[in-house]
Amino acid sequence: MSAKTIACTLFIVASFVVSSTLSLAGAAQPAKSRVLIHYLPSAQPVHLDRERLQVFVAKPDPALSEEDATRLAEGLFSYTQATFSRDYDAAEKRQAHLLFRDPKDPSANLDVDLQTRELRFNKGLAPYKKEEDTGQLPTDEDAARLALAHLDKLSMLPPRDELVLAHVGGMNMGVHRSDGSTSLYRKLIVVRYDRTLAGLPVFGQSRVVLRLAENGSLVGLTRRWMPVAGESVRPEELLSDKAIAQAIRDQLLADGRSARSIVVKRMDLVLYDHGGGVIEPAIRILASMHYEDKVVNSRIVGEVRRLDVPYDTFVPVLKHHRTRYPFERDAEATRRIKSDQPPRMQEQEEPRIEGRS
Amino acid sequence: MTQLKGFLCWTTRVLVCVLFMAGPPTAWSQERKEGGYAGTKDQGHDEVVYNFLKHFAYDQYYWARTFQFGDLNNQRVDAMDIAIFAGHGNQWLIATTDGNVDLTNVGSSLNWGWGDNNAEFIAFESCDVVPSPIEVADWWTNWVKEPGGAFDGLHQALGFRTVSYQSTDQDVADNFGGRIRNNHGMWESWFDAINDEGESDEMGSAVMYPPADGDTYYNFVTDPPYNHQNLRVWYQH
Repeated sequence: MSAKTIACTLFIVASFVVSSTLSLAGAAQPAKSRVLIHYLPSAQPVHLDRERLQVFVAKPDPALSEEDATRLAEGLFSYTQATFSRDYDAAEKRQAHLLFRDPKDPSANLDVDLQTRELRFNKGLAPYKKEEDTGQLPTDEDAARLALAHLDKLSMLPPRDELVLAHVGGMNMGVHRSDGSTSLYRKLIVVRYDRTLAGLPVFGQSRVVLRLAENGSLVGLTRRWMPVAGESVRPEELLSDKAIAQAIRDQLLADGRSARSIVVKRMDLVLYDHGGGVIEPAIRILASMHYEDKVVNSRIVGEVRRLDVPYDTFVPVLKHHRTRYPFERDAEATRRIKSDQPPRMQEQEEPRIEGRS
Repeated sequence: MTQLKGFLCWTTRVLVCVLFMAGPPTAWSQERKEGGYAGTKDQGHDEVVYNFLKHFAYDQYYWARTFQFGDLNNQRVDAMDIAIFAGHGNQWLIATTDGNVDLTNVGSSLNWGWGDNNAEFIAFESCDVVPSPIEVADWWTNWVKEPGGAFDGLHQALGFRTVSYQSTDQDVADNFGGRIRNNHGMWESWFDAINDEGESDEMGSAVMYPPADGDTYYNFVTDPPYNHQNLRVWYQH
């Protein structure tokens, strides 16, 4: 047995109890935790190739003007035979967004982000709500081919070397009637492309999602694909492997401190895209957290249910990261939230005023 | 108890009819209430709820507790027009800060299920809470069985039939809140938000009273009866 195999085996079987006081940006100061962390063989520590890592920065593309965005929208409406009009009455007007809707179908809408050129389009689902299958839905293979053809015809096809077919699925409807009968109906096909840059998968915002209906016609499109250029990262800009391993452990313990145990399934170097005009290298952690809690209203008195909760997070590898990570929490969210007491208890706790009945 | 429940549902319907006869006000002018309940105190679920509520007011914004969904739901979840829960879950089960709630049995609580008081919509930003026919052939019974089912006038329950990742849930909730604030279709907005923000293996699921398929937050059909057995499920796969 080689030293490498022994080391690997030791790592695989490693599980340890950690007692530590943690401090993470934006997180409440946690109490001491004793959580068992297991690392599966598939969760090998990541050793960075420090000479080859890149950060991808948004190309300084000029923002879309309202006229350009309107032309883009009209092209999409013409291609999909949608009858939309500008939504001037939207309750929530977002700056630098152009909104359209079909007044006859509340599910039909288009949102064009003038700054990022992102586009979210739903032609409307009203025609698909009858109890029937949608006719002539494409096969999975045809759907992937048709999706690319739609993007090409709309001049929205991202660079081919960045596209990865992530999923071909769909949307279905099931019915249970009062006479006890049931039916299932196939409604739409959904094709999703994710992104890869310099051989690394991109997680976060980048994606193209298309919804296809009868004969493969396009009825929905989400396109979030910021054009970027790669920039080399200097080795001194990166955290050490030891610091990254510590950050991962801290993150797991902070988020899982009320869990019984944590099983880490994967740790992979990826690119993370979460705004700020930058896509940067990060470690994606996939784990499962195990909880055991009483079911308060169970039919079985005293029932305790074990929950195995999937967990994922991203840990930066840059000393000074520029995108926003899920662990960076909005302090306002915690400031505003309140503890709750059953209303009757609150009433009992109202302060008495002496001398009054 | 059943007669009283039926009477209350009937009177609610009469009241709704009277309100509709008065003429529809503009969508945004209608008073609506939103409640948000965070299932853990250490994993950012408060931010998920906050990202939804920030599109509206903060009528109720609490750390989640079991009574809010069960015995005193008429003053919490069922006092709202829409409630959102963010936290851990499993099929028909949510984990709050003081224990788990079995959603197949909330209709047996002192306040019955949801919708007999006010609630129209509820959303679960949690793994697996709303199973589809892919996971469970009998996807409907637990929602509408008597006694126990959560649907007691509820229009739609939204959730995931699969994992709901913690790295994306705050963005899904934000996107969804903005969409329904603009009066887009309710469950359709949920699915659109998942397409826009979720990972490729996150799949939404939405169970509803069929005539309520088409509801928006500001325009929805008359409340369903408390004891119907008609259900429709939309699910992504």
